[in-house]
Amino acid sequence: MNFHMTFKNGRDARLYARILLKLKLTLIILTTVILQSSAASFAQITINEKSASLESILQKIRKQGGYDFFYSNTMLKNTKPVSINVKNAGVDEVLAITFKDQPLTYTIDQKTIVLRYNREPERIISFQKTITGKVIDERNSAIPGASVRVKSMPTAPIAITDNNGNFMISAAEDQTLIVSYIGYETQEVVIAGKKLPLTVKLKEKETMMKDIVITGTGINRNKDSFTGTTATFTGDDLKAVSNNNVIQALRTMDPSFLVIENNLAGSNPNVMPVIEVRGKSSIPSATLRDQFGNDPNQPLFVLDGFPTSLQTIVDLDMNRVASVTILKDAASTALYGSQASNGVIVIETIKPKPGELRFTYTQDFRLELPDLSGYNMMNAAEKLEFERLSGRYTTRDAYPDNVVYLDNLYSRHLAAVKRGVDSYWLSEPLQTGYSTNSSINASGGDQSFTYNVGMNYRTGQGTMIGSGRDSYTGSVNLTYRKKAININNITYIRGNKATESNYGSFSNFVNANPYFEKSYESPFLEVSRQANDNATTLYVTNPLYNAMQAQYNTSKNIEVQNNFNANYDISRALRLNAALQITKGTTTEKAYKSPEMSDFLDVPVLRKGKYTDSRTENFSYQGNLMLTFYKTFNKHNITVNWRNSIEEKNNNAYSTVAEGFPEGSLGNPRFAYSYLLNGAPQASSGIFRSLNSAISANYSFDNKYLFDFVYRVDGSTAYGSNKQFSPYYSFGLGWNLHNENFIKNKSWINSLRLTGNIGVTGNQNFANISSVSMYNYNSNTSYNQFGQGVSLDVLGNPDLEAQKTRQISTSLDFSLFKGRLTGYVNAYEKRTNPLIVPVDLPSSTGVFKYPYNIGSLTYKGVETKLTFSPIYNLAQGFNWNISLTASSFKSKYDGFGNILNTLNKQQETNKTLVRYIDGNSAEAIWAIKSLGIDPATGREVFLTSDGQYSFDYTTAHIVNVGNTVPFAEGVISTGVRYKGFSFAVGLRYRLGGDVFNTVLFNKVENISFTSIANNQDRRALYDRWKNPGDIAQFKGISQTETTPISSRFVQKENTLSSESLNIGYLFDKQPWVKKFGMQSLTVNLQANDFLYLSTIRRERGIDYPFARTIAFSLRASF
Amino acid sequence: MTTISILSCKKFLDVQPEDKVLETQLFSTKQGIKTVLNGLYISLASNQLYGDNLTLSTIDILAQRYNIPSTHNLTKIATYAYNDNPTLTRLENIWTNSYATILNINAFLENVDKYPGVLDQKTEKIYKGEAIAMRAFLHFDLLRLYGPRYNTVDSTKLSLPYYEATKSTVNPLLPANSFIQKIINDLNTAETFLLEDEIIANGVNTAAVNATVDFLKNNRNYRLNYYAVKGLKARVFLYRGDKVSALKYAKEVMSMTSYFPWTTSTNALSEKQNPDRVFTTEMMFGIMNTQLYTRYLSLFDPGVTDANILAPITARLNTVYENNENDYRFNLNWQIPTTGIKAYKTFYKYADVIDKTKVFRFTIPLLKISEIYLIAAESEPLSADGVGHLNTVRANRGLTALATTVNINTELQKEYQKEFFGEGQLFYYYKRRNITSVPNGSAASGNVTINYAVPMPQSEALYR
Repeated sequence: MNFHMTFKNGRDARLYARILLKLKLTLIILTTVILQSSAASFAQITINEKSASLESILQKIRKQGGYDFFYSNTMLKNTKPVSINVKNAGVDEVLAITFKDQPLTYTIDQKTIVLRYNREPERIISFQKTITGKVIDERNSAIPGASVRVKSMPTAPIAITDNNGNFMISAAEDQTLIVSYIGYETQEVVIAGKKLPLTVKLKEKETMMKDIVITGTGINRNKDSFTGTTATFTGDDLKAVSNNNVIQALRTMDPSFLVIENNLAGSNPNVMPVIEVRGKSSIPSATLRDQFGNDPNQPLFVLDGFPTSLQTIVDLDMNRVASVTILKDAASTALYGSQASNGVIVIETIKPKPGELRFTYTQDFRLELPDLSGYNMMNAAEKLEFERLSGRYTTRDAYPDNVVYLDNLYSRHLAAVKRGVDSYWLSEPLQTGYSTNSSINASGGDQSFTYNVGMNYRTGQGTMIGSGRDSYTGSVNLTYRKKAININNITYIRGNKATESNYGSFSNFVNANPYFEKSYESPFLEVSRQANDNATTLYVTNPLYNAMQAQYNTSKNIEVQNNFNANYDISRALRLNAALQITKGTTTEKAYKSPEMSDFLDVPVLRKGKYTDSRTENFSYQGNLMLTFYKTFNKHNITVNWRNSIEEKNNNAYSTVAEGFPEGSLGNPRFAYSYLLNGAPQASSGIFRSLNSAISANYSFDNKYLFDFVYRVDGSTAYGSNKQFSPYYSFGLGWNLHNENFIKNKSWINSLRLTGNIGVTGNQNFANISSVSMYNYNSNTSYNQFGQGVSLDVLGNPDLEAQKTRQISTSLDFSLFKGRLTGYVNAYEKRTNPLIVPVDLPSSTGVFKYPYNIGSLTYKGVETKLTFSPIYNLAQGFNWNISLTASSFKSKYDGFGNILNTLNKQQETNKTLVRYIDGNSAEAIWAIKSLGIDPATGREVFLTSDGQYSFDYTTAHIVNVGNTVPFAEGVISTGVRYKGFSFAVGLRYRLGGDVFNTVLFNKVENISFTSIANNQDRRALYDRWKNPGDIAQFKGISQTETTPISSRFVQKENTLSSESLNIGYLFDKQPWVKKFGMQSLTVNLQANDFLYLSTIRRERGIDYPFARTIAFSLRASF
Repeated sequence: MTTISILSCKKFLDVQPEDKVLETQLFSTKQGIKTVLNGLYISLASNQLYGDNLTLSTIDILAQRYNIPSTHNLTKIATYAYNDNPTLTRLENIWTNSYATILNINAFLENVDKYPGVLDQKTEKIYKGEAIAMRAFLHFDLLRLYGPRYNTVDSTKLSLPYYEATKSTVNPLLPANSFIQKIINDLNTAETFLLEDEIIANGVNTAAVNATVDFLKNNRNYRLNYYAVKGLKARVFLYRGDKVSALKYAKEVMSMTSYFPWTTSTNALSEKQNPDRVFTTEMMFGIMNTQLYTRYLSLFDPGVTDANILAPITARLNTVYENNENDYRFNLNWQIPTTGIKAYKTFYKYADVIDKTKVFRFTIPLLKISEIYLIAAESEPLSADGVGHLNTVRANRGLTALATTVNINTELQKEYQKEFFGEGQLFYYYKRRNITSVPNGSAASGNVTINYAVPMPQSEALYR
């Protein structure tokens, strides 16, 4: 309870001291505990100093005696050094010595010591006069209701501007006026030397990014008055997690944002991530997507106010990101109506700021190291033993010739093993990936015109040799402001180039046998015979051979985009906004396979080799017009927006295939013999259009009670011709508890808000063909004397309704103990009803995958984020926080009845783990219950649905055996910041999800007779049943029959992975920084995914391995 | 104002895809409707249906036409392994493609009514007649293949679903007699619609190659014309066991034999370069399969490996043709390859000719006048009259007349075996006559039992 306060103006020190004293006394009375502890410190003072500054002595007295001093720094200017030596002296004694020769004197009032000049300095007598003036904003329009007061005269009357912004106040010539108004920066005006009437121009306050909810529609909400559930992160927040892309960083920051692990594609830089926000909103089915459609469960991405593609976001330069906002629930997403069911991710880039020309240069480096820790492959000796036990060298027919052959084969392999051949194939296609990103940015301008020019170039190689992704962006951002008009225009040019590795699928190398020597010469490592059929030749392909042949697989994309945005303030309460985006892009893909490759083994000479050339052109425009009404009167605050938008997307794709290349050809299509046999050019096109109109209203009373409402009508080409338009809405309520009197005076509560909302949104990531019957020309080879003909391609369902998702969401946000504990708890229910399901009918109807509206899918979940700061010292720049995010949810299908039995039967035949059954989760794993391996026979024993034990597998006994959704998933992170230094680490935990372990299923069991020749998981040798009596987890080693999907392969998994580690330092005060002409320099070192701990062992990254990354960033601003 | 803006919104959202054709676009022009109808015939000629499965390969293998040893790739078909591949997939494909074409027919018929006034009345009737006849044609062959063996005893057995409208609901399995009644109803309707068919006045009217083909007037034998419908009726009635009606319709067609003239000995025996091997002149209904010679090269060509070729054992073939080289069909279509690549006779019926301008190229007949004579022969109450019709056919195949005292059924069976190689009718004949034991195509001697219990494909059965 020690105050140390200084005043600029010593004259009024006493007055303030009195006021503060009273305040302090009140506090002391309120908090007796503190009083006691203060009393305890009423101690004797010991000081021994020679020629110390008065200030340092005062500090000592303050510390030891528990006294508060009131004085101004200017008062200390002419003081003399003090020499003092006291031991356990009283405060009076100490002060008497200290102030002996000083120009100051003091008074003790309780525990407060107020310093004064010995003699009050001479007062300049000044005369009060009437000051008149006008308060205007940056557009020169008057601000009514602004307050004007005289500085340092808290008791003097305050003036309020009238409707024309005029005010009148009495003040002395030498005094200063303070002009303030909500939403504007407070300004001090020195009266001296100014002509009257004064003109005061107030600047609009730049609100902190964290306090604003940017919905991307131009409708921005004060977080304090909004009822939706959102999460906002600044670009720097994200960059502290990963410098790769926004997606990677976001998943660490928010519990509801899940990047679904793609075990097949691993860390392939060219495979787009699969993202879900708060679960799924539709049945994942390829049939309802057309070529240009998106993943139906992917959230909508909005960049600078316009919806954009996932690819643009992945390639976005992170150094340009100002903020990312995740809109999760109905109230926040309803503005996007039919596109909103999967959540909306709003990304804003850095806007130019007026000022001198500023340069920022950022250089990022990344290293990617393949993570092979999941692999557990056999070595040469183990492999050969496994083959022997599996019966690869035992003939099944009694041809003596074959016995001899297989014996020879075995001894040849054995000789190789004995010779010490033990090839590690896994390392062959791998490298340490390396990528760099250079980003340069210049901005500046004056109040009416600002500009920003930016460029970045990123080049990257993945962990598989030859695979990589380069991307670049250039942008020019211009803003013009004049009076009531504000125009902003951004022009982008961006592109990328993706290259696939020549080594093909990583699994080819994982499967290669260690007892073969590595070679580049032949397409086959060995040509041998099958044990069970001496007529069949077994070709063991050499994965290295194909990789060495001439080939390429690249895609290039270039896109030009212009975003135009204009605001016009019709009046103080009314604003008109118009925006238009135009995008034009081209993607070309070229792939070539050399005729020498093993793909063409059985192909006639003139058809060996293949070249594919395809290009996609896209053109789109999106425009919107919005009218905003804003009014505050008394305690009422109303915002109403009316927004209309129009959108069109055009896509055209064209591709041709040429085949037959001379040997040694490098892939120039000039050398092709011909086009694909009987092939015609492939072409497709699509137009998507939508129109919508939305009204959004927000009302708050006294900043305590909040109310939100959104209604949007959406028209789109995506749905049935009978149902072109569909309405969406949301409704939300909120209560700012921290503004209530009963909480206001609780000092430990800084902010506490309770919100709840309900709304209906849609999903239009479907092909726009489900509703209309469409015909297609028969293939180019079918015609007759009468010419061409068409036949039904799609039988439309004109009554198909838009998929609608109803969301109910509540949230409790809090900030306690002066911001030391902050966080939120959200709970939600998300119900999509009806779903659009492609239903297969009996084939006699002639209809396949007919889109129906059936059933519902409900997600219920909670998510939370807590941040606690054990050290929170802003003054010292020392801050340590610990943060925890967690998300937990469950899903349930309903309303299918028996309609989807057919779909389930199909899943059965296709041997998948998915079923659509009422009451069960969308993420359930379906398989037969297994009781393990019979020790006597080595066969698997199943549990039938009526509780019997059986060796026989019947699909009828398939039950729900697990769920892939973990009980809880989230990130635990901690960060320390001390002055320029920062350190942060984030660990992802996943508790209790089930996993169908495909390695156990494919590489420990289910090894067919032919695939015995491939390398397998070690457990196939060690953990399989061998002799009667063995208690084994896996069936007999010599059994090559297919194992059905059973619960034996479903495992409970808990994982802990280190998602991010970051160490950084900001140099801004060091003299050498200035010397190099820099304002500041930031260095950052990061490591992502360097550790992955799991309770089960499984291969991760089948076609492409996962990578651990180490990254380094350097940012300099000039 | 509001109305205008709503209307313009609706118009904005009414997008016409460019890479596909919308129903509304197609059915608003004559040309469009024509392409839809022609699309039906092209579907019929696809390899899944009459371009291959139901004529050249699968159906004839089921009838033990060819030598399919265990080393042959199609051995599972010859051994009636209906649940193994490739049998399973092929039967699946026949079923799904037939019903898909039926859906197309129904959509066509509904849309012609839905967009009235585009066609003139006469054209509309003929188009509809053809489409309805095709619906009957497809259903009938589905019944013959997947349905129960049809005789008076089991005719009430459940057969298949009959679709007369585009619905996404499932139609029930009908008793075989109701099913066949629906076929007859459709054929009756078609016959009425086709009363103004140009063929009645002008005959088949084959257009020259590369000439502009009039959709209504030319090449009527490639369309389900008025006489084809009558011929089909004869076929259906005989299958149903109604010989009186069968004979009636057969005779109506036989009176028009001049429109479907018999082939000549010149064509069959002397023409070495460009013979019309399938006798397209006799064809009342057939398809043009532009892939025919590609199919030939992969099924029958002497260059095809033993594991893939479709060819009979020579002894069996000789038995079928009674070693009679005078038989046009034997002489013309079966030869030992001159290259010596195969030691046995291979099938030349669908081999290409030298002159690529011949109008008969690419043709697979689905109904010929010869079959009508055989139907009449079987339906005549007096055996002697029957033998008379049979002898007409024999005479036009270079064979001598049979005595009126012969066992007509024995002779008919021989004739079916000779006449319909690569046309698929023999299996249905066996099934109709309940002949279960037939000569084993894959052995020089001995018989096998045909398994007529062709199962309903999984894509149907699973969902029932």
